[in-house]
Amino acid sequence: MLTAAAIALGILALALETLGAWKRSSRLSWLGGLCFIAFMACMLLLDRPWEQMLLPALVLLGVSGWRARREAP
Amino acid sequence: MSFDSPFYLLFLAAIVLVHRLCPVKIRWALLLAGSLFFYACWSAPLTLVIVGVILLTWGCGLLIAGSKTRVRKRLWMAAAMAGCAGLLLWFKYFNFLADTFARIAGGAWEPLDILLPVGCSFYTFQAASYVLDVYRGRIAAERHPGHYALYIAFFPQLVAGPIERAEALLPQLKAAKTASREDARKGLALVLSGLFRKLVIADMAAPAVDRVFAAVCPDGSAVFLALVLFAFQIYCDFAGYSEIAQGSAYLLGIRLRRNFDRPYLARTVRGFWRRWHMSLTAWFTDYVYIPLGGSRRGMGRQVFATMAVFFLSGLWHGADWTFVLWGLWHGVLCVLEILLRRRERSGRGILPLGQWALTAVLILPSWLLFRAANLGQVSMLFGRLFSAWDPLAGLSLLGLGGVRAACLAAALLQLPLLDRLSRGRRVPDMVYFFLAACIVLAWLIRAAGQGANAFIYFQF
Repeated sequence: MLTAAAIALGILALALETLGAWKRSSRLSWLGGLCFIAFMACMLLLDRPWEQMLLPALVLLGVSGWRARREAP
Repeated sequence: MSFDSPFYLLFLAAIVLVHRLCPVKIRWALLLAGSLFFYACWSAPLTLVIVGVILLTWGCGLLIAGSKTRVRKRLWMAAAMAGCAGLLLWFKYFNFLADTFARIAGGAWEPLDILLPVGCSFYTFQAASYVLDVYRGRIAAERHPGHYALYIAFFPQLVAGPIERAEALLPQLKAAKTASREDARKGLALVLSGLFRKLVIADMAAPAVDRVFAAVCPDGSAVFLALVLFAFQIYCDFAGYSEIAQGSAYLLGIRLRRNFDRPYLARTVRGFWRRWHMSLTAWFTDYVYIPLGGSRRGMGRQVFATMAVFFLSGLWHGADWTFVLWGLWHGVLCVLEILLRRRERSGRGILPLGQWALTAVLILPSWLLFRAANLGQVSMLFGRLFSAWDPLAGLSLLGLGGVRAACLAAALLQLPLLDRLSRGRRVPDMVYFFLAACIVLAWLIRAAGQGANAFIYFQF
């Protein structure tokens, strides 16, 4: 159950972050960030290794970086 | 107190807060006390060495300024230089030189137990640049001992640079202005970017590199991959340190010079050195290359000056023949570029790409000299590079599991974003959020297993 929630939250975080970057919407991006925090909480409860949390964080950082590039003058 | 420890961030936060609150007139005293405390955390007795360097060079600066004749000025300048060089000779090079002479004489040398003061090469060079600038009349001698002591001991750049010039740093330390909102934003971005480079990239690459360099007979593909990883490790380690230093100074309203500018995008070796450890390159250019004639006294003189700079640069990095050869390797490449009049091609296309690839291929083997423990290991690993390659065996020796390898690859892909941050460009808030998340997770990974890796340049 918790694993399914973690996967769902991770996918939701990625989707919201990507949508936020696409639409240049800070609100959607912050919602993605909140989903990521919830995802981390689930992973902590599941006692997963830290590396498995670092990888999604890096992917989401990449998406935010993509937005930074889109918004560059 | 290392820059990549949570303790340093607490220390920095406390200093920034008190710096904002305390009157401008005594800010120098606060920063000096904080800097000496920072250094004493490494080694309290060796703080005396830095105090000695401060007193010697400050005194000699005043004596040079007060001397009426050129001979007297030169005498005091020579005294300060002898003091700085003597310090380096004793702490850093004594065992190396004694061992070399003993080998030449056919004997053996039992190394003395000499503890190298952290950042010794950096602060002696900074102090030497001050004395030389006063001697040349480029700057006036600093009369306030506290301001001068802070210029040498300013904690963000004390242990591993950037090597600052008095004309740039001293006026800022005296003005002691409060950091603006924009300075604070840039400072925070630089600290986060530097921590990411160090904790997420350099520290994640370090165990794989260490495993290959500790192996008795590694596969050629493992040596190649370890060299590529070490190239990124050392870049992110040192550039990360420099960015934390720059960011910490920004938070105190002080601007330090940039030390790195995407060096691996250089298309010539000389271009690489204009982008790598820029403060050291500028130091050697101003105080060695140009006084030796530079490029204005013919080709022969330019070749000699270039080789002298790179020989000294190699020796500056470490008291070992591997470092000397590393410096000479770069020197020879630069000399060849001068002789062949090779220049960086601008724009995109096949030719600039070819130039970039050739430069990368020429620089990569030099990291073997930098990382290896001795010349025997250099020759063994260099030989292994040209032996049969078994990529699967190589990858298994690196010990990068699936997730770890993916993390490292994903982290390396963030380098363009980190470059934007280090150039002070604005980025969305979520970038800071996820950068902070990655840094905290990297700290937790470190706490859970591998332990801390000291910054590579601290040994210099």
